[in-house]
Amino acid sequence: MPENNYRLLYSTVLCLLLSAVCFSQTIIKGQLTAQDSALELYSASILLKKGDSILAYTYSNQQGNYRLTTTETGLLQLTYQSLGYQPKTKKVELKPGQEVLSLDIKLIHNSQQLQAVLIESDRPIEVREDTVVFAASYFTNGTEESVEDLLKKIPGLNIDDDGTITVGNQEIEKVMVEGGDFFGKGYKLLTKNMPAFPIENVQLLKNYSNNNLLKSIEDSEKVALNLTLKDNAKRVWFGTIKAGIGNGDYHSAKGNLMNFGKHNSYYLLGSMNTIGQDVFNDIRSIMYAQHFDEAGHIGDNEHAKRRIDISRYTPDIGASRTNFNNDKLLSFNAIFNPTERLKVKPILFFNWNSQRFYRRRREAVKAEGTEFVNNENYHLHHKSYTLFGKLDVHYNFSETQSLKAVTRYNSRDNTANAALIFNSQATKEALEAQNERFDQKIIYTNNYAPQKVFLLSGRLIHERLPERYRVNQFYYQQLFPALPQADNVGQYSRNTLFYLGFNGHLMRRGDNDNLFELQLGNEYRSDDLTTRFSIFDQQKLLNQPAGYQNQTTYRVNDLYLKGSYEFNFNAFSITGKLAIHQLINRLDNNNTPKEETPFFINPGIHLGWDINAKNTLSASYNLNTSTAEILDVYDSYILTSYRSFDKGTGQFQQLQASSASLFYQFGNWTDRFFVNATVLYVKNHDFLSTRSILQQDFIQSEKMLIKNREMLSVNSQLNYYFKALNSNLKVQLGYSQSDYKNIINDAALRTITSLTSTYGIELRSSFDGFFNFHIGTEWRRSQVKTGREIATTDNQSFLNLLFKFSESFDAAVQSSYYYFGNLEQDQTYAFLDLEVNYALIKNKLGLQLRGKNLFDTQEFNRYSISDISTSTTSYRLLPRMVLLSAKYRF
Amino acid sequence: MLHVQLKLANEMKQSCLILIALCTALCAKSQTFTLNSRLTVNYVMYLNFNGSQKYQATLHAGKSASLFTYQWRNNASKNESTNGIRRTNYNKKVYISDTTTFTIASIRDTLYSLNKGFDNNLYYLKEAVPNFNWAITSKTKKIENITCHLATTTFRGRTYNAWYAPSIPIKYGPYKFSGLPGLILAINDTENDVIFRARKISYQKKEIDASLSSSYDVLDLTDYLELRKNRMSTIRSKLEKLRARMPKGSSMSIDAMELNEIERDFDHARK
Repeated sequence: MPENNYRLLYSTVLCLLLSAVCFSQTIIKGQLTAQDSALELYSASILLKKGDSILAYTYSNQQGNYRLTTTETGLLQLTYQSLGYQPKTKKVELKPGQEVLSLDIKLIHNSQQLQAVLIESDRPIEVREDTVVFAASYFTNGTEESVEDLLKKIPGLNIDDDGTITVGNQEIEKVMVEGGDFFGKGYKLLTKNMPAFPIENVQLLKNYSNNNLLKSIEDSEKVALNLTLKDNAKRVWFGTIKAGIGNGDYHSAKGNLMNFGKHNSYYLLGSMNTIGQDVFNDIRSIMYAQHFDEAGHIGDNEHAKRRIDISRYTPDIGASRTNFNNDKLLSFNAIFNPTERLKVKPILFFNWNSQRFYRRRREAVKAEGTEFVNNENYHLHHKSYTLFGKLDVHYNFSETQSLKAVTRYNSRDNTANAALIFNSQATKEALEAQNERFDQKIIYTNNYAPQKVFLLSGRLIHERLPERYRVNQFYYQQLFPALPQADNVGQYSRNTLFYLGFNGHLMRRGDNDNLFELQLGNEYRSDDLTTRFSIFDQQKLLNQPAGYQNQTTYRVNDLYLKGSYEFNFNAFSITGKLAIHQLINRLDNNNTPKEETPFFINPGIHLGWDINAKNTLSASYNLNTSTAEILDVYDSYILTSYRSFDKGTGQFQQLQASSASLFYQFGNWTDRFFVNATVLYVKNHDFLSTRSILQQDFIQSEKMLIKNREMLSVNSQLNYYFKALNSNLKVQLGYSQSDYKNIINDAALRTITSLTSTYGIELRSSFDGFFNFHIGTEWRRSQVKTGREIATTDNQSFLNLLFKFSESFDAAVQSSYYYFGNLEQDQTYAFLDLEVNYALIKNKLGLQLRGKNLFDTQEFNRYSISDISTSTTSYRLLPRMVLLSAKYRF
Repeated sequence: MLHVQLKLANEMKQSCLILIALCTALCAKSQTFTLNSRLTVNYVMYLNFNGSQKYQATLHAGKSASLFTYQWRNNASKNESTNGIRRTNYNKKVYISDTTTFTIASIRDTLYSLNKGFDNNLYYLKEAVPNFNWAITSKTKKIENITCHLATTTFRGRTYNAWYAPSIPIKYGPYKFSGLPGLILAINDTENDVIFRARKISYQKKEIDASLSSSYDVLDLTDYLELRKNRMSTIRSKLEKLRARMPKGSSMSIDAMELNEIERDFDHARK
């Protein structure tokens, strides 16, 4: 033991000696005083420098004493500074082994008052009213490849793994380039692909509104980004391509190509697939854009009406499961900014669509003494070609005034051929329909004072929708007993729409955020409906029967004044609405003109009450009178499918309805317990029902005005989070009841009650690990009560499993299970789908494996009930698909 | 990565935690203190966690004490017209535009900083002046003709680059930063979430009242960290609920949790 102690002592001494040699420290100390007053200088700085680099520093204490240590030797300098004194620099030379250097210093008082310094340079961020501008060069280092890489370095923007950009907790609306936007919420296509180097500034736009001048009125909490480009940046084309190939005929490809510049930008898109995806749906939203929440938009719901509908009805298992398709889409987009104030944005789409659809149906009809069973085997081949063009012109007169003009044109050719067997009789339907539409909209906005905006808008729409329809069978012998030789029919129909609307809209937001709105406008709509129904013997025209030909002109001119006032008071908000309409309507059925000038007032009220932090209640009531549409007022029958005729009332109608709704919420989304419930009640004081002749071969219906129809619906949702299971339980309950009336086969007016109740339960996990699940089931009971009562109960269940093995490897398994209680056989169906994603090179090259309908189910059967029948329908399904895709960014 | 911001936390009710805070709060005696300021610096301050918030800040520095104040600046007039409280629709969020003047008083070796808690209550946090362990570098640059040197430090979860002017012998800087051989003219963290820039330096001597207000409680660092821990776990459990309530077919991931504040990590630097 003592030996050990000695060893320790030796080594300690050795260490001390060594350190004394190698790291000999010099202490520099002393006292600072003022030269004139001998005052001790407190909090003066003392810097020890070698050349320009600072070796050590300290501040003097209250007695003016200071103390520095250094291991450095040689020629050094000491700088002594105190506010109000002239700085003093002392050169010293420290020799190795020198332990202490004492230096007392006297500083000379500086009688000159120091001048204030203003710093103007060095501004990485500019904050303007609702805009924050980040100078990209300040935050980047040149290694950023894509815009996404660059945005990751901009403070305050969060970009998650899949590229979603959030500011705080809120996702951004869009990413614009020089104020122009192609993609809206689909901005990832831009941010993931566009190179970073041309970006000069990133602008964060808070309280973002699509119409900049409405910002002070709308309560927008939206955020958006705008990228400005360097003037001299070189333009490059970039994009992505994704291509996949599968078993059988399955393939899918999609390519994007784009180029952005200071004054013009281009974006090209092409896609094709045979995997059931209907790409026309993607452009539909651009063609028929709805702007419910934006001021200044009128005429959004004005469309020509089609009469023949042989498009397919799909069961609710996802339309892509029954869509045997071959779709192609090409799109060209550009944005031009010829001047600061002017922006021109043309868009052009071409879509070729070929879809096949197969269905078998057995319908058992039983109503008012009529009873029969129909069997139908239906195969539809639908082809369409669509051309769509849109031109947006936006001109800013000044900070407060702007003009926006939108021109849309589309032309669509549809050809549909159906081969069907109806009760063992082979039948062919052929439809050729063209749709041509021109739509011009102009909106002038004037933000004439803070929180006060005036909008003036005008819109003109002209649309033609001609349809040529042939059926190679004659199922209507009973209706035309005088034509025994008839064996096929044809119908030409055409709806031509002309719409012209003007609207002046004044909005003022006052104290307490109370909003006052006033609109004065005039909307004119004119419909021409021509239909010609012809009965043939082979190619020979036999007859164009009276009562089956329409020559209808319907004009509605609506002059209106609408006002609303939103009043906020503490936890309450009340909105009152009043709309006054003066109409001048003219109806001309087969050269018998009629006129009417109805006047009505539509009032409404909405109440909101935040009872406390947990409870929210709102209620609204509306009384609404509406005037009949073209499809309500024609007076002769129109063939609408191979076995049905429809007819309007031939009269003017005003329909009045009251509706009341109530909404209650307990808790918030992030609370353990969260419940909401909605009750909606609608009473139609007048409504249009039907008087129908129901025969095995055909149905003939005529609209008629009936009083009093009621509808009640109740929906509620309950959420409870189980902490121990890390899972949320959701229970959904729904109930709806509607009572209506109709006439079948000249019997008395009968009352129909239709009831639906749904019960659903779901459990979803919130695990931190690589695995999560979502499981649920829902029962739905439908009931129709007429004289008799029919009911059916269906069930739908699902289990989804999510795996995230790593940043670059994830998988999702989705399975669903269906059960139809009233089916005699094949009551249950199961589907299994799979998606696996693997990134070979992150953001550059990725692989995807998709499996759909892996159990290879051939047909899907559904059972449904109505007031006249029960039916079983089988839909043919796309066979098992396994598709391997690669996505590449260039 | 999902960032959690202070606003979310502010909306929460945690009455039990408030109780803890009240029990452990030091008795708030009114402490009066007058600072003999020798130099005044106006800074702009950006906190970029939730978009960008701009603050106006002022540093009054004396020999052994300093007072740093900052206040949120919003140019939008609409927030001011409604007395700071702005309601949107009945079912939307309620915004309260914050007009609080936050203060950080450095008196000898102690810092008193006025903070806003998750329940929107104001309180003083009392702590020792942090030892920043500045790493001095030889890099220099000129800011408006003043030669500045670069020094770096890590402070409670962020790494900062500070440009200080040895020619202005003041050891104080913006926020809680201090201890460099010269006034800090520019400082920001490496993620640019926290940015300070000096805009004006003036040398008038004046007396500044740096007294602590008696209306607020004083917490020490241990109390504060306890509150903070509870707040983090509450937020996390709320996020887990949101994740479990996502609609069918969509998912959400909670990868990392950090509070979006200037001081976001106390584990690695307790002092």
